[in-house]
Amino acid sequence: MAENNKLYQLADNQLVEVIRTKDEELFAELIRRYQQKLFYYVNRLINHPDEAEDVVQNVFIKVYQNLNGYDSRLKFSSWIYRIAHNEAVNWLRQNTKFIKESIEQNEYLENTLSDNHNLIESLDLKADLEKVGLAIQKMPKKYKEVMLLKFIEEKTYEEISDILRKPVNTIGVLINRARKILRNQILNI
Amino acid sequence: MKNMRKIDVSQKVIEKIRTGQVKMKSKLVFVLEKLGIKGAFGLLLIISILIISLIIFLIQQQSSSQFLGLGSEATFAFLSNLPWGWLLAVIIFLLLAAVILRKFTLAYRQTLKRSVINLTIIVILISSLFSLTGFHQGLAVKASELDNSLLKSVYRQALSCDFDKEHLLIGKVISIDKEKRTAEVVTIGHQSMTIQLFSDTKIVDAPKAGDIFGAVGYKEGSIFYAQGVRRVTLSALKNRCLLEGRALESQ
Repeated sequence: MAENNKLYQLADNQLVEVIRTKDEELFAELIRRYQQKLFYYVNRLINHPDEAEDVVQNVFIKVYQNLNGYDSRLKFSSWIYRIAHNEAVNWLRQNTKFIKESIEQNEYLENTLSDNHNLIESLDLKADLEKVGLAIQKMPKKYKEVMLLKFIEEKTYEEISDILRKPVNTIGVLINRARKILRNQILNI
Repeated sequence: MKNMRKIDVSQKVIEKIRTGQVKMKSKLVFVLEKLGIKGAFGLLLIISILIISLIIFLIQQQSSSQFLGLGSEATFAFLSNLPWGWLLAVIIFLLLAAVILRKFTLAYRQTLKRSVINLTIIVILISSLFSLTGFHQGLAVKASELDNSLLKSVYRQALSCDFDKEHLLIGKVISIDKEKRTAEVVTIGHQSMTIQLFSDTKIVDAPKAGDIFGAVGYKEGSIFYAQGVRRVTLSALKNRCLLEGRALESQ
């Protein structure tokens, strides 16, 4: 029991090493750490809770299959978010009809925004959360992605660069443009 | 609230792992994949270095590079002599190398433009150093001894004595008439010609009687109207054409 507690205190990278070499069952601990975060993230992208759960399950299967290919120079969270992002994008590609729905209403985003009061401050917006949620949903995909990762998932520029595999400078430019688009959209709502 | 929904996929996933439906890919798969990618990347860089050093060698070998700065005709002659096919190939290889680098390393954190520029600078620097080794010189000599081979076709441009004879002239000054602004010369083809200079003819390191020279301009019969003239040394002109030039020197 005490040993298990120690294992659970391990950093992600250390835990991956133990799973790779000693105990595959400890993968359950990795799932426990990330399943909820990934579920929220995937659902914000696809706005389909039941499907999001399946997507997350696939993400963990892919993570397990490719665990030996994980490059420890990368943050584990960036790597797993990258896989989740790809899976969500693949799902959207195969289920294009849901994209429209996800723009029309995303309660998850609105609810998340209500838990994240800093977002309004950090965006320097004077608008209610419902408007912000709607405006983010209406943004083009490339801006929506960076907004979710920066202001909802609270990732750094470098982490977003690793998740989206885009240059760090490009991420900065996209976020700045997204802020402007968001302000304009809120004014128009 | 809906976003408070909890999920638990651990049991399903662990069950699949336990029953062997989902297996971890072996480390060897990733090692081989990395080796393949590194091999392809390395190969592209080596080929690019070989091609760029070959281009440097060809530029050194072609007579037209010695005429640069003497006028527009010299620039056109130089550009038309450049091996554009090789240049295009090297650009494609460098782009491919940059794409591989960005796809399989953390280089995507930089822009593609920056990756390509960095790779190009590195490759040009290594190629410049490599071209000092005389590798291509050696191969060109070998190629000249062969009748028909791939090597010969690669070094054809370096082995060829062909240059734009309508606009470039190499020869030896026999006499100079300063009043008429003309010079009697013998070309490397042992042809006697007159060079007509103008008030705006660019003269670099003015050739005297007995000097070997290079001139840029245009030819009309036995008169060459010079846009620019420069004294050259045979050691500076590395082109095989200068074997004939050496014969000139002994005249």
